[in-house]
Amino acid sequence: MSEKPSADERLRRLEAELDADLLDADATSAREVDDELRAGGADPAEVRARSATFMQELLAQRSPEWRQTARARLERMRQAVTRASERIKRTRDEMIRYLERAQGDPVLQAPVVAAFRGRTPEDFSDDELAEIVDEVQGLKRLKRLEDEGEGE
Amino acid sequence: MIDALDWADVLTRLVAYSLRRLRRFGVGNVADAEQIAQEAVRRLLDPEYGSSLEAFDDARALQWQLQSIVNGLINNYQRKRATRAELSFSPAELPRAAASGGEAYHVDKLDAELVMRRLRARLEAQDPIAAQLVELYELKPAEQAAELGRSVREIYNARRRLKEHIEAVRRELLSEDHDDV
Repeated sequence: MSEKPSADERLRRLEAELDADLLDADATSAREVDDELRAGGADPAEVRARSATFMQELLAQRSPEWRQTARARLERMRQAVTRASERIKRTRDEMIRYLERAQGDPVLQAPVVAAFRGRTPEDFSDDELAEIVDEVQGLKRLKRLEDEGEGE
Repeated sequence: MIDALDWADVLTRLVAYSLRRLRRFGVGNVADAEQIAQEAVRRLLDPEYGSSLEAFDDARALQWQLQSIVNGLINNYQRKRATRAELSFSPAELPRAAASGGEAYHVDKLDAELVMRRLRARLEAQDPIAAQLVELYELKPAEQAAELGRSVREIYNARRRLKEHIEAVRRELLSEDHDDV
């Protein structure tokens, strides 16, 4: 993963970083945000009004109980991710086969697709493959916890 | 911290960001951008997704988290548009699969190598600070400021100019492309 990124990748990342300035009130004024919305075909006043209404309703749903539940779940998720990092030793072929299976799973495929975009398994070192496997395992555990949570 | 935030402005900025990202990918519309931005905030506030506002000690951390959620949602949005066949490819075939689907980044299909070359030449002649930012694109504005010995305000302004330079180069190349036809 230490290879020099291609021009396409550099340009993509550069523009992504610059786009993110829209989120930063210090970098982009409200007027510039409105200009951006207008350029995209939106009416800034309408977007702002809808945003205010949406947030008012969403924040009204929050309560002290919500905070407590959020903290408890976050802790459980953190523990799950920690456990996922306790890596099971696999051979290179086993890791590739594991990722191939994960790719067929709608819940687990995202990190695999993202990692292999524009690259093949041969482009990755064993450690890099293991990192992707870790990520998939973390997702798997989170999904299991979410499923358990739904049954509570 | 979270109660002091202007959440309507946060969401509006997120809509503008989503809209710009969707436009770069050549997909979606204003309604999609609003839906994606609202979903990102909903997830941030929803313990089911493992988020906790207590984890964000400042607005910047919150911004990065929201940006990350939106990027994930846009990736999902693009994936849904890609053919279902992509899901059955082996990892060895994935690069081709990805190229055929949601990663069609540049709508104008300009050669990135050419864009970067033309951009560097333009910046060296017109805007040395912005030229340096091209090489430091992985750093955050505050880090770029420290690296270049400039104020953060100068860096923000240079980033704004850099965006305009890139757009100008794209327009220039597209116009040359049309002239050739």
